[in-house]
Amino acid sequence: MLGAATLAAGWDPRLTFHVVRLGLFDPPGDVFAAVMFHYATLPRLVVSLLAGASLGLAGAAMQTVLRNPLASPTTLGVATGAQFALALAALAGPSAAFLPREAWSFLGALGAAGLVHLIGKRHDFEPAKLALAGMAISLFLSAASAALVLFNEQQLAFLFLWGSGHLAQSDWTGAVVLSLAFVVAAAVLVASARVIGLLAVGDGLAESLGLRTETARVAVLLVAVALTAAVVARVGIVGFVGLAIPAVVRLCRPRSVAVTLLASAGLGALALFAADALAQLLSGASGRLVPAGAVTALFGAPVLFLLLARTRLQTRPKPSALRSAGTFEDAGPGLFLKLGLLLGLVAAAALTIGRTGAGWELLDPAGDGTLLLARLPRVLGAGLAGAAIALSGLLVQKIVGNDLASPELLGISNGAAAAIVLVALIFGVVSRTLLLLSGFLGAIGATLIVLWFARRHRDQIAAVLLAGIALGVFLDSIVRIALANASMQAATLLTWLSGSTVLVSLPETLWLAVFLAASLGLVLACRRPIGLLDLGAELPQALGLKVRAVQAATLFLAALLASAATMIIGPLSFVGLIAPHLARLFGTRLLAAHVAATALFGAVVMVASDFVGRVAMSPWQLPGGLVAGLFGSLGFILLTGRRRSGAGAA
Amino acid sequence: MAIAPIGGGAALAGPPAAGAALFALKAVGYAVGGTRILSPLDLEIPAGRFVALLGHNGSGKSTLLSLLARQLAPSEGELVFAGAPAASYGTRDFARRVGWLPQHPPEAANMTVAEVARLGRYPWRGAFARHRDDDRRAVADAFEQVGLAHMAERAMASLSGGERQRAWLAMLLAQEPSCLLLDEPTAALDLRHQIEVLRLLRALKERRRLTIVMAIHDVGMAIRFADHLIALKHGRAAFAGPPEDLLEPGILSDIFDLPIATVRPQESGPTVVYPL
Repeated sequence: MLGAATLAAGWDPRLTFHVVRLGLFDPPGDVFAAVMFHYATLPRLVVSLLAGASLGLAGAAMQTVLRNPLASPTTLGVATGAQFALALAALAGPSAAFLPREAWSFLGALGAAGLVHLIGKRHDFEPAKLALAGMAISLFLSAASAALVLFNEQQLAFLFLWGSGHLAQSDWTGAVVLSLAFVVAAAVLVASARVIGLLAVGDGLAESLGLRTETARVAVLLVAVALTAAVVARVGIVGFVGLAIPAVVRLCRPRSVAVTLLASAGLGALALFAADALAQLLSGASGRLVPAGAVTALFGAPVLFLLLARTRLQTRPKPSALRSAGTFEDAGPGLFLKLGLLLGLVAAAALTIGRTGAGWELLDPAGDGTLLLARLPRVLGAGLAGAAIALSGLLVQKIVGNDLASPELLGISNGAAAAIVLVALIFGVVSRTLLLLSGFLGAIGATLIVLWFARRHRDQIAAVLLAGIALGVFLDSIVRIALANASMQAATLLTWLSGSTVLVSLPETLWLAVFLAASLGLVLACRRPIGLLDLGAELPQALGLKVRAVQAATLFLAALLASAATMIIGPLSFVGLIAPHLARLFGTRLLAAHVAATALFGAVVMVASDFVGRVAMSPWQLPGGLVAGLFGSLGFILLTGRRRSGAGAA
Repeated sequence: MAIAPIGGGAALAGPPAAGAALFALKAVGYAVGGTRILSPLDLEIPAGRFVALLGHNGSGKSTLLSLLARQLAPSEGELVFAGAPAASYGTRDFARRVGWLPQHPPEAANMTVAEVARLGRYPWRGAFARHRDDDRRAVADAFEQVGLAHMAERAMASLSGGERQRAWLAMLLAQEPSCLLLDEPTAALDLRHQIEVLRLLRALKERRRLTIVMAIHDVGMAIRFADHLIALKHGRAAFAGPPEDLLEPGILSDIFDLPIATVRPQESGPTVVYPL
């Protein structure tokens, strides 16, 4: 029985009953298979079971005390917080060694949880908004960790935002640490099952029965956070186990809190065990490592999607208050002049300023033409792609009817990326035109899924965004698994996915320029119908607008722009979210002005990010898409923190 | 391209004379997923009248209005508008004849009052054509009618409920339709603003020879301002006729399943409707 299980986990055909018997307790040093079994296979088995159980338990506890079916170590940003702290500690090296990695991990998890708590409090802990805040912080911290890891190890493997958890073990330390953490946490949580049950009923009732709800909730959450931190410290991020497993358990309507907690732990253990077996099967087929975290994300993200589609999240419509000073002060032509000037300055800096080991150096345009010419496609490509993704973001916001939407958040960019990677891998080396086309189809596919969802949940933008993020995670894990199976091109594709502009050629940027100009012209010409989309579907239809047709055409253009931009700056830049907001912040209100300012802001942000990425950490280059993603996801956190987030244009 | 060619059978139809049927429902019914919301109705909406739609919650008032506005398509029967099937009109062509306002118009927080009113010219100018003098005149005239001319540049979000309602009315008037369909235009307003809006509507009907169809809960207001009443009960037509007839004993009680009495305190004053 145990042998069969380990066989499934280890997937090693050399494993025989004889080896298992030899290796189970004290392996003889001369039988290699037995040593492997004792120090690699068996600990891995135990760790996968323990990590799964811990995540299931932590997720169940979080969901119960927050009364939020969307809470989990992943969706509340706890796991990413731990990962970020670990990356920092790794970077600091010996100077961080005075604390064990579990402690750093716990501090990071605590910090992220505290931040999510602060944002959630502003929204009265509304379930979807809390999860959205957690995801925003996750996105930011993942981008930051990715940047840190880039300096540290010079490898791009960590660039994937989700599911980098590897369960490979080389001794029993991980298993011992995790079993200690799990046993203590499970004992504490099951012992306080009555308190958790009261919290699950509701604060009002619990308080009238004499429970200090706030203290009790924080205590339970602390235990869950600590348990998550221990798992992340040992195996990295294994996404969505803590979200999906308690949801499955709840479907079976467990009778008591203790049963919920223990069943979640048990099912979580089985789930991660199965996921790891599948990951090893995939790795075995390809000869490369597929992380178990990618497999759990592959299955877990759709669960989040289904949860959102099925649960009726409570919404409390808030009365609309007077929110305007009476009249508007629209931005005049001065803004565009300044923006154009700024773009020129940034582009000039990006073209001429460089940094070598010796220090900063200014390029003489006349003297060193070749270097200038080498930098020109990068700068042009970054600027044009930034403007394109910004315009795409603006259009998506008009279609969805909310200013928190963006191609990056709705999985549209991920759709393009996934399609491009798959086509590149399946057909080998193909032309960029074909890649662009496949990226476009992927973007359209992802957009249609999210739009279908948005139609059903028109008033719940937080749910729509979470569904989009879930879709993005799902596509991301496909890319990750596909890349693990790739051989030669993987490195090129990774460079591209991280948003590096190194590969851009001059003719490509010219094509993009033509396309962008055409799109801008089209949008400006059609500003009346596109502007009418702000008013929803009914009233514009009564005014004689063919709403469906305009939506479809706008969507088509948005997907095309997003995939063209993704080709150059990768799927993670967040410029599509931030640029329209910057434009709005500077007082553009009418569509024509908003479109122009959005495109300019997109170009400025992207050129600046690419420049910063090139010089900030010289001789290493940070991909421009990643730098923009850092700033962009930070902006996303601020946006979710707004008190009336999501009330925007709808 | 000034005005799109008028499509279909609508080209033959002129505006019907006052009293003739503007809308004619021929066994029009509406059902969603097997649930019947509106039983097949045979009903005429006379042209040039101020029609009030009465009925309990869920009686089908809003559904009927949405069908008339072509927001919903009938699941059975035929809807005739001005002598031609309603479905035969082009989208913008229909919008030039019929203006519709939902019970909860969009927030439009980002727009000024003038911009909202200018939306009403979309059916006439479409996506690309420039606004001309007659467009500006229509918008200015609409402002004049609703009394918002001094607020044209104000933000929609800074208006009170009554002012916001009048801004949307200005949009409908700038649309220059011959028929207004209004879903509970007074629901969110206090008494004074209710009276104001209803007086305005009655005056507009006279001045512009409009047909107005309005869903409303307040029976007393309906009797006082409308000149033709239609009552729905559980998706069926329970009454259609002039206000006097509705006051016949037993009719109101039957519509609302509640004993209802009416009294007229002053000889020339309004009728008061109250449940017993």
